[in-house]
Amino acid sequence: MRRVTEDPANLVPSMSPKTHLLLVALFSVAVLANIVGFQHHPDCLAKVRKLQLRQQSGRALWNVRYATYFQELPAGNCYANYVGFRPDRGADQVELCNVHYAAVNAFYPRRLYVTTEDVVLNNAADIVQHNNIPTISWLHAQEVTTILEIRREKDTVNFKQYPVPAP
Amino acid sequence: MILLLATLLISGLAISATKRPITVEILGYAIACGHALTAVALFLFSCAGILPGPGPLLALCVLGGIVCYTRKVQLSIVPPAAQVGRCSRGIATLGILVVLGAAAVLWYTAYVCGIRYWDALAIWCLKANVLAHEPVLTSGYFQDTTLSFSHLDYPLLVPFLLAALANTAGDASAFQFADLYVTQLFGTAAIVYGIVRSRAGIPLGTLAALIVVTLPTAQRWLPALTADSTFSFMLLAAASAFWQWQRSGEKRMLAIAMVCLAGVIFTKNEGMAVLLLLPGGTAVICGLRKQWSRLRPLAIGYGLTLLALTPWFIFRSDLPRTHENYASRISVTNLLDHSDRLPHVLVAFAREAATWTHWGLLPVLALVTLALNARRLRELELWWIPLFVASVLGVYIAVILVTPWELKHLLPNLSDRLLLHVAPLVVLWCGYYCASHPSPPELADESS
Repeated sequence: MRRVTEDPANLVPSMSPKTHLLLVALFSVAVLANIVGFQHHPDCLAKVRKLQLRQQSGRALWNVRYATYFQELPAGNCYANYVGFRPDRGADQVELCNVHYAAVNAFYPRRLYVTTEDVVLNNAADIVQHNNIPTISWLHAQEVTTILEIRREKDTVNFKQYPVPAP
Repeated sequence: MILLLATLLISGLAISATKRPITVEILGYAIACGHALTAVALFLFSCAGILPGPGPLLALCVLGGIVCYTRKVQLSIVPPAAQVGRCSRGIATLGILVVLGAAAVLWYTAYVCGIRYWDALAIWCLKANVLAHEPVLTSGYFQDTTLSFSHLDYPLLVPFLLAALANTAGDASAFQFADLYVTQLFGTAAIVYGIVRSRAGIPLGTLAALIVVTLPTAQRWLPALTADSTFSFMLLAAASAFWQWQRSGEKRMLAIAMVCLAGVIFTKNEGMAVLLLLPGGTAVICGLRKQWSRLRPLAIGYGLTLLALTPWFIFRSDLPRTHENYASRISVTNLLDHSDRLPHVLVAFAREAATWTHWGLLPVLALVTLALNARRLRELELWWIPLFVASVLGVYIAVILVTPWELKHLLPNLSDRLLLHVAPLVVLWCGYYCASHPSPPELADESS
């Protein structure tokens, strides 16, 4: 049986203590279901633990590995030359994006160039398509000091650094 | 972090607090208003050539303090004895422990994984990095199409707050950035707890807040350092404040609603849908209830919100749009042409919502709430939040229909994030409408 009791917000019909208790139980089960669901979520705690073990064994995560590499490059801007990445292969696309996005972020406010023009680079395919070696004078004009060859070989990515030749 | 938190709280309290002691939900609203005010102010500072950092934050903090002082705002919190409902100390203590546990998981994930999602790295953290180093008007970044993978035209609330955090703390790690998301976690819990508690008592209020903070999808996306969880928090604050104003007509609630609406628009482009839906829907309901006197303050508040965002709209209009311009593709003919995709989209959303490892028992709770309110199904008030949630999802579905992307690639990556935007509102609705205060024992005995 519902009754009307006073409530500061407005008049709300009150419920029986038994119904209230049942709802408390239902809400508690919902909280528990969330916690258990979180343990089984493919991208939550279990994956985080796996990643932590990977870090502890000395194999750094890709984001940390790439960021560290780019932060340690010599002073000045950089030109990235991506070699061996096939835009029609999903794994290559993912890896190129991982490297490029981590590099641009870690390198900022220094610049990482991949093309000479004001072209639109929206994805991995655009980067591969427009990644042409520019002229030495252009590199000097952009204050590029290092050319970086980023080569996809089998399932790994290897880096090689070259200083920009004098004009 | 302490300076940023103080700025968020004090600038937010300048809008949301009054001469009465503060309730828990007002603390949550203060955090949300603080996000919007601080980010918009940092954008204006940046336009003037001042980088986000300790100086602007301190200025905002002092300004907020002056406003609080001149308005004689009371900063004391309502004592528990004066709160409505039966206080179950055990549940309340457990609640605090679980919220702290959720925050600890968030910090742990951010610490272990760093910035691991490509959109966090390429969009939000890169923008934060740019804004921390260069003023917006002179930065070459916003016109550099070789960086257009970072969506140059995306709104800047999250990047500005992250930039302020990085420049203040002198460290731009994911662990440091996670502080901001922990604040949002507390804000979400406070709003849900405060509103549900006012009707259903402390135990159910606490449990509803816990359901929000422990949602597996929320726990996945909070440490991801993207803008989705922030958008979800701002949308909860804005929509619930509009809803509260609809019910009470309190001017302070309208002010909170408008500030949070500005925050929603400044967080993600999806906010542009809400820009029309929330005030428009509220105006329609005012009209249906013949509350004509409320339309004037609503229009004034809306006008002021648009005015405050005008610098951003002007700046945004000049940014290169190199990705899909979804708004231009939405037309009746285009929607009809792609209507064959509708069943796939609806099935994908339904499947996602029914995945218990992502959403726990949330769909069950929504059904139980509907069943418990079977006699009230014709009341407009019951449908306010569901209609708003359905409208937001309707806009998302319309955009997905006309997008040229293949659904099999798009939906698995998108559906949980889109549902996360409205999930806290659904929990708030379930908690609020599925229960009310239990009747006193003697009355219950009488009725039996």
